[in-house]
Amino acid sequence: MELRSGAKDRAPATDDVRAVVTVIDMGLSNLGSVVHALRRICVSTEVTRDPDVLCGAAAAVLPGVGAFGDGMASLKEAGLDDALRNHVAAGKPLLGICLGMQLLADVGTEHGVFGGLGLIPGRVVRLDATTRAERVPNIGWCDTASTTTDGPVPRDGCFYFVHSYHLVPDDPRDVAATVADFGGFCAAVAAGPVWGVQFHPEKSQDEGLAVLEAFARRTAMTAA
Amino acid sequence: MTRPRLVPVLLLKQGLLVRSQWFSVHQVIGNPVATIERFSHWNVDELILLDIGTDDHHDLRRDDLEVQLEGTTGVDVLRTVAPACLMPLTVGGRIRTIDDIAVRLAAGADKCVLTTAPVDDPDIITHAARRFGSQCVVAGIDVHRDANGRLEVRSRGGAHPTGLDPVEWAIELARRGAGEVFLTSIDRDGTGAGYDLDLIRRVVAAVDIPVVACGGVGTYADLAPGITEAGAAAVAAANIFHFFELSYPAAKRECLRAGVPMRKGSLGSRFLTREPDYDLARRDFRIAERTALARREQPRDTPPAPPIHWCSRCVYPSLSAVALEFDTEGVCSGCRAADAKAAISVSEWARRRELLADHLERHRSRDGSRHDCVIPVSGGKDSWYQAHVISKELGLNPLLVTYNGNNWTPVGWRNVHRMKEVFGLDHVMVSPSVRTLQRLNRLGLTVMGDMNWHAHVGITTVPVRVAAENGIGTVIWGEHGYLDLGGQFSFDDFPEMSYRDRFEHFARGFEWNYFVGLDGLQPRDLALYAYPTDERLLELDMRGLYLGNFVHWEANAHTQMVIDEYGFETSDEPFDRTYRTMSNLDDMHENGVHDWLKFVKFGYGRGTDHVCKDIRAGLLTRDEGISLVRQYDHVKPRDLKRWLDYTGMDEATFDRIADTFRDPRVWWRENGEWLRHHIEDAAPSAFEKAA
Repeated sequence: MELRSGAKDRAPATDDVRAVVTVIDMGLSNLGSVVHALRRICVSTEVTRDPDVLCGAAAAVLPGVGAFGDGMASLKEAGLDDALRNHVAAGKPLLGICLGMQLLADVGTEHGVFGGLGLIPGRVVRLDATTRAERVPNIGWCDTASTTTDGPVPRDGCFYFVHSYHLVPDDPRDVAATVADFGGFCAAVAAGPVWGVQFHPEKSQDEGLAVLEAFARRTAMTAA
Repeated sequence: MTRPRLVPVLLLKQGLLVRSQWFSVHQVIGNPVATIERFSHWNVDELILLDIGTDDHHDLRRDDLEVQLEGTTGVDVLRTVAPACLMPLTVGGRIRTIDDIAVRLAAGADKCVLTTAPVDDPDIITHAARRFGSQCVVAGIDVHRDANGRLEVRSRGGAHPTGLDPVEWAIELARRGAGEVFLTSIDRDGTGAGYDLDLIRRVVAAVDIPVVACGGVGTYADLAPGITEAGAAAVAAANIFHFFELSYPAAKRECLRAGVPMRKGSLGSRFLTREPDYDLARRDFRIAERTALARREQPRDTPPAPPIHWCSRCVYPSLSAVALEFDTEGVCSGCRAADAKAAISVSEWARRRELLADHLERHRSRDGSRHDCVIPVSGGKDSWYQAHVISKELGLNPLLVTYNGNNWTPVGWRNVHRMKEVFGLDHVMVSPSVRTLQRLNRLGLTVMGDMNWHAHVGITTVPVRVAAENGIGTVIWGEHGYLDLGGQFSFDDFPEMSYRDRFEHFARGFEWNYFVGLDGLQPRDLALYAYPTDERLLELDMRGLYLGNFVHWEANAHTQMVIDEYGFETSDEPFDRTYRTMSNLDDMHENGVHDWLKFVKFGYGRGTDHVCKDIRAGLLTRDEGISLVRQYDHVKPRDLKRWLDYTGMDEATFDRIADTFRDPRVWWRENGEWLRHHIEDAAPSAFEKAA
């Protein structure tokens, strides 16, 4: 008889000590949840708002909730925008979550028009409800369809979304997963070292933590 | 489509989980941490945590519980539970400013519900949406429907009429940037009458943002109509998720069967365990710290405890092992539950008996290849009565199951062995190794100040294990002790025994695996104390029914009946700590050493428990009760000698370990004596003097 219900031996996602994930503090994010989730999969984390710390990072996660303009302003204020561009230019992995994914774009259109990090060519636009049952903000669990096995979401899944805007990449090859609702939108992007997910992996239980695990494994491979 | 959500709501009041009715009656049902971890383990779609307390302060200091909360505020609770929340977490209550939101988001919340603040100043929604984004601003709307069907928004926990129309208010808050509406019917709250579908429909039609419906769910079948008939994006409920085994997965299954396209979800997680992953270093440190404290010859003097009060009708103190609420007349929730029980009509009891008979009929064995149900029996008066009702009155074939904790009184031993003969039923007795029992007795004392952990957990685990091993999905318990003593539930909740009850109340948060590695105990020594897996429980649809919810429970009358009809024996020798001779004959220490330890912790004992029951039953006046309390509560029992011989401990060591558990809200030490406040006694005196 199995003694501990549901219990599995919890092995670290990677035992490579170099695979520390640096979590960017934008000042308006659910930072705690992301850090807790990374700890849950036994990944070491450091939280920073310092571009110099980011400069030495092996991999970075950019979590975020809130408005596009405020998020970009916060990154610029700390000098993190250029630091993030340099991080990616050096080929080091970056994962944007929710607003963090949207900030990867060239342009955001929430409460005005703002420039983004420009790491994924494209625009961030408002979600449109196509039926009475669809509501904006889109809050809840949506099924995703993967368009590549080589990204953050290698298989179709179901994740937790909370958003009113979404990123429309210029290049369809950057799209890693889609959701069919709201006339179809991009749920995940993958372009070189840059990954982004519109949903909240840290709040999507096992399927979400698997995304973070994949990111940690990638970090370990890049560091090695 | 975005999948409709099924959302449990947890209500916190002064740091404790409560059950609510009409927004005004709140009964304490436990510590939030274990419950939140359980929800996380069930992969719930989202969780809403509402702090409905009046003070932003709590004191959960119970040194004998595994979970120790840091801090004293609702936000501290949030910080404690956030790491285990792998699901979206929405937080509400006591949010007045933009900074209040920022603090909660930083502490682990994903969204915040604002209910009263926008009524006072709607601009807070505008500012919050601007600063944090609409997606984390939830407009809470509590609605009262008067006798004429007129709807009105209320604020301040339902107390304050606002004159606002809920539909117009929802439109206004959505216009100001709220990302979601959390809509609660005040008059349906806790009634189990189902959602106010008309209200939900109207608000859903008026706004473009998602609406979460809450208030009125009494059965799992009440959930789906909130979505299929009223169009809500999510259905929420509070009380129902506390009372049944695997409540959330079972509710989800019911919604899916009703055709609601919810996320199927899974049971369990790769990253969480149902049994806690204890921090062993912290465990060892706590034990070492206590052992060191107990070695100190003379405990230090401490400041006097603040005054406590007693129920104005029975004799329960305001600080007790059972969490009580007191109403404006100073009457405790246990007495109110007794009133509610007394008000249940004969025809209602007849209806309840039918519900039970119907459940048992549907789950009985068709071909005799298994027993119909399990009855856990200690051989006591309640066991005999349960066996009587189930086998003689309802004609079923139960399997009697006994946990043998090796502490029998001679009378209790005779009683338990006679059941198979008297009732003509099969009986399984599960007896752990005495060596393991001796260790668990000693460890229980050191770890939680209760040597009877093994008994409480054994009794609530072994019958369920035997049921699961034999493919039986129904276990018939006796009376719901916590409902009876403290009134934590409503009789209409029909609370059942579940993993949660066992873990939180009976085990105090200490699972079997906590003891692995202590005093040489190995997993194989503790296997009997492991509850069946969730997968197995769900497969069998395991239900732990309390007979006391279905038949009128009157212990004194039942005892007389089993004596007269079946020859049940009561104790020929009185107990030291209670005047009752019919209780706990299966375990000489339950009324003895175990109960003495309760007195050492909380300043009262079984004398008080039994007096309260008998005052409520009309068998004692309060004055008679007080004199019994003063006669029994402080008596150090003689069975301590057997326990010390059994476990190989000396009395001085026992006393010093016990003293480390004295609750500083009850006891203080002055000139080498332990003092406490006494009932009906203005001047405190030492129990040694009182003895």
